[in-house]
Amino acid sequence: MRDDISLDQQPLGAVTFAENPEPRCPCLLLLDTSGSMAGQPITELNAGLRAFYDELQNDSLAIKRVEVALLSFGPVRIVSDFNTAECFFDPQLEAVGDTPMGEAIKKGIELIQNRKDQYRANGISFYRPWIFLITDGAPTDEWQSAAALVKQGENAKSFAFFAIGVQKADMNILRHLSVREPLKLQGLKFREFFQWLSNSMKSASRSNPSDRILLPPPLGWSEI
Amino acid sequence: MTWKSIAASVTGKAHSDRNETGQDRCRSGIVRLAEGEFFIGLAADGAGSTTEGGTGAEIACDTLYEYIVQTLEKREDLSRITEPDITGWITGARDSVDMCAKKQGKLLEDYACTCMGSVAGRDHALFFQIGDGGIVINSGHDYRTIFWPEQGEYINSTCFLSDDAYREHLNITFIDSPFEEIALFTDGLQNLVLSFSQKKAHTGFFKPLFEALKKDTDHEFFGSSQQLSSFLLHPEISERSDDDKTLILAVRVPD
Repeated sequence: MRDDISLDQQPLGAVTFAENPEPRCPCLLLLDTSGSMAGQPITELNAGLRAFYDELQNDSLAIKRVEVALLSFGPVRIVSDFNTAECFFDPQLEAVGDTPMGEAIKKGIELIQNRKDQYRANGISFYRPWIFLITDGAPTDEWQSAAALVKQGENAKSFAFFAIGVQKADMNILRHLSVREPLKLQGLKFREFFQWLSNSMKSASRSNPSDRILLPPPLGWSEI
Repeated sequence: MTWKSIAASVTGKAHSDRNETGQDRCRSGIVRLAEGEFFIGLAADGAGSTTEGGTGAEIACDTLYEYIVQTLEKREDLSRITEPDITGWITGARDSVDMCAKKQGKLLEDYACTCMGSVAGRDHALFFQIGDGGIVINSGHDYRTIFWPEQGEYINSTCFLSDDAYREHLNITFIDSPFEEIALFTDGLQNLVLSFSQKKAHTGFFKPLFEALKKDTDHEFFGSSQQLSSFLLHPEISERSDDDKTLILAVRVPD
């Protein structure tokens, strides 16, 4: 009797596998590009984003599974809708305008909802979407209704919402916006943040048979 | 005609890379009574987020097997087994897991697992399932799924035997026509053996395996569960899925 079995051996060589689309791991970045981000902050943010795409592209599974969407505010603009990292692009964000954070969050939640509908329509399975809000200021528009939508979405497990404050960000308002405790970026360590985020996305896109959100501790970039 | 079956559970790379033991368990066998011969196949997948899911899966399979044999002996035939009998087995298995959890000072949810099973005789068969994974039979002209894997909104969420609402998620079906091939598999295999866009079993996977098992009179390919394990650990499979995998195959062959 043989101990080993090989697919080359007949009749097992005839076995084929079903071709299903890769499950998707969506991540939405809501990026503050208001006037106060001008100069070094926006330069560092752009560099961090490029490194983020690079990291994901160099991971054979993440490149097929992780989908990133970029939405910048002020004014609210979809820089890139959900796409896998195969579609590399260099966003070159510019810092102008005010901080319509409430509108950006509402628009972002809508983007997520649309993407989920597309996944369902195409029989694509997916992980719980992540939303990361990054800001150095405070909303200049009505944000209370956005906060209510975040709370509602978190309760329904529709997505996981994280807020990151940069420099003089109003951490108090972020605490009202996010169900999870907001984190403060150390200086302008965008690269370290995006390194951490790409690592988190890489491990989330592997089989992680759990209902919980398992993020590594935010070391090296946050003030905790 | 007589049933011939083989079953194996293997640890996926996602677990073995972290030196964790697999959380899939299975149990299968053939029971011979005066009324005929019955195949029993049971598989359970311990939840990856728990510490004791594998133990829960093992207790579930062992308890269910015992209940099924007892009921078969009492009722003497499959056609006299009813839905309340099956619900009773499931509740009994859940109670056994709960008892073990209490003894260890842990919670039932620490032992969360999915579970599925089938009992098949000559003319009748029954099937039950909580959670993901699936059961496929050859209905004569096509391979068909008995239950489609029950998943939550997200790929990594499903329902478990330990859930409070386990009865709501318990699917039960009876079939009163004979079939000769059946397979049970856990979620580690479901992306390889089911086409999600067509919502169908993938013939190219099942057909060669059933044929091999049917023709394998000298046990060249399927002489032991060890050989089925080697097949499930083959790089062609592990490249496509790094989760734990269970496969149970049974065919009816001439005596």
